Amino acid sequence: MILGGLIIAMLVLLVLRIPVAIALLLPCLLYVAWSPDITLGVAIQQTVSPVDSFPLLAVPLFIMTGYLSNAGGLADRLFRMLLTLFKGIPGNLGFVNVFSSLLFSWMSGAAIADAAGLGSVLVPAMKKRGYDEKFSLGLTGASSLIGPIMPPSIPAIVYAVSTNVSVGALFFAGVLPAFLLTSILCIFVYRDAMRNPLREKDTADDIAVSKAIRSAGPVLLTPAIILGGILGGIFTPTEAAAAAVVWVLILCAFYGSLTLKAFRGVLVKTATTTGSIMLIVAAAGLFGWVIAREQGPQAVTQAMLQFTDNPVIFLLLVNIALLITGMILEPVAGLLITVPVLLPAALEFGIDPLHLGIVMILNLVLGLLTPPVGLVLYVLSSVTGSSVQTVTRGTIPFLIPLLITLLLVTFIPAFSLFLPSFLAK
Amino acid sequence: MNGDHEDIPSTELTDSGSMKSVSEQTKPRQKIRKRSLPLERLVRSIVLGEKLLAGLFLLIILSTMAAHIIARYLFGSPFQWSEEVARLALIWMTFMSAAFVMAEHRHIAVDMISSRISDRGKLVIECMSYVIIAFSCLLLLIGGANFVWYVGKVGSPALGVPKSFWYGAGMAGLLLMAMHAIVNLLQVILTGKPIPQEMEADDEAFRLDMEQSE
Repeated sequence: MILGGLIIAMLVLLVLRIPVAIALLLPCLLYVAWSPDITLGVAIQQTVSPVDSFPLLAVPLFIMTGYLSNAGGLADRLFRMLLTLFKGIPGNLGFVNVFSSLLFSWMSGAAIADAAGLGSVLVPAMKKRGYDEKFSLGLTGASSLIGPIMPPSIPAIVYAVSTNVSVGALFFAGVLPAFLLTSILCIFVYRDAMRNPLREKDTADDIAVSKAIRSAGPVLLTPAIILGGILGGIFTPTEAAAAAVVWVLILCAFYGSLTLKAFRGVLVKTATTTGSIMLIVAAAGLFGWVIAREQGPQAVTQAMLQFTDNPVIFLLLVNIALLITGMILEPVAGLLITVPVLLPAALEFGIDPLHLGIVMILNLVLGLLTPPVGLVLYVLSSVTGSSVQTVTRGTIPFLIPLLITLLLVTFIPAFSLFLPSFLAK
Repeated sequence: MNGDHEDIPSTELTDSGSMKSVSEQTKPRQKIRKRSLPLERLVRSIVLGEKLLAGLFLLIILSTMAAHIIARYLFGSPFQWSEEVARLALIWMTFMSAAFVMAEHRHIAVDMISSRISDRGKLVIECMSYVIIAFSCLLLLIGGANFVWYVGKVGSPALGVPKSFWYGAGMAGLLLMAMHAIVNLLQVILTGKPIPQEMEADDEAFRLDMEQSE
């Protein structure tokens, strides 16, 4: 009853364009103020303490890694290397599109940066080379989703912190699903290239290839530091994030590619993104506490168990609920709202929290590509000048590989649980 | 009240150069809008201050974590204080950033209705959202003050820093967010125009280049 009221109030506030953090906060504040046995002191405690977390320190540091490698021209080095490497292969620009997203994803988890960057540069080039406009747009949008799935991933950090699982383990749970998506997208590119064989013929010479690899080599050490450092037990994810920032700073200094002004820009952008995400983390802390106090998780678990005792059906229901949530909410907010309710039920069904985490992230990230609130659609439309309708129609065929990935990851837990089992304890 | 701050040179707030200290800015006062709004100068300097602090706390996080790693490898164990300092800096960074993001009207929100209502309706909704934001922040601020007052003197485990430094970040952030919401509300009412909130797709994008340079 009270829970229903809270959720309805939240939805009304969201529809009225109240920032997500405040829409979460206000109904909970009113609840606390109304309850006779607690004071708003609890509320301030529950909103400030979620931010006070060592693993969450990785959030601003990984965001900074992404902005820095962009400002210092490191992303561009990777992009140029791929352009040279794939020269002459049928469908080369399509492969460059997918593999750029893959390489960028190891340094930045931001789908938006990826879609906007590739959308403004690669999509026009693809159109000029005779690729279908909708295919180019859809491919760019779909491949940008590799970013938030592949570590380092901000949604993964937030999920891990709010469920008390290891951030490193969840990072590695995302690796195979991200590769799965990458390979399915490559099949799409290959199929498209086979259908349109007469596109580009120019080939790269060996000197250009070795030069491109040398130019991008040191940049590729960044993911090695992050992933290798965590996998080898050398770094905690937070330390890996700090080491990555330091390494990227060293590279920028070495290449002389970062001005002081650009560095200040990176600091402000990092603060902006961190502030918007972490305020939701803070508000969701109180939300989760109120939900738990009102026995929300128990109610949901009971309802689920009455409906079915089959984990497969449970996961299907979770998928449907999350796909709808993802259509409206941005992934991190969607996670923070649904995790406190879904995790206890999932545990009851014997589902591994790492597995659930990757399924949830995949579902919510898909929402970036679907109206009414598909952020990537709007970004692609704004940087390419194509209408939102065109972009949407272009992405629809790519929802198939995404849904295939989602179903495989949902029903074959090994995709998410195999790699974390190697993680140094 | 306004007059006290006449001597603060105006700086571009949206520009990435805003982390520069005020005195270093050599740009002329070109960004001042024709119609000056109440407390505009003051609010601009507050936003600049918030950005400076947020950037500073980010650098503190980075350097303490770097020191943390180095200490762990050199001495076999990290410093006692590094984790706590970094966490404290994260709390302050979060709430200072949340404040200037509020001033720029860029907090994450769900946009489902704006294509379906008139410009006037949008303005009404924007004003209402500022009222709700200010109310929520002030409610938590005032309601939580008593608690923070009582636990504020308790020291933290490693550094002995009083808890009021921890909760103080939240309190300061709530106060600043409420203030920005009220100032934005006044501005919308006085100018009849929404607070600009650009998508920033170009700004966020990876900057890539198709031309193969030598």
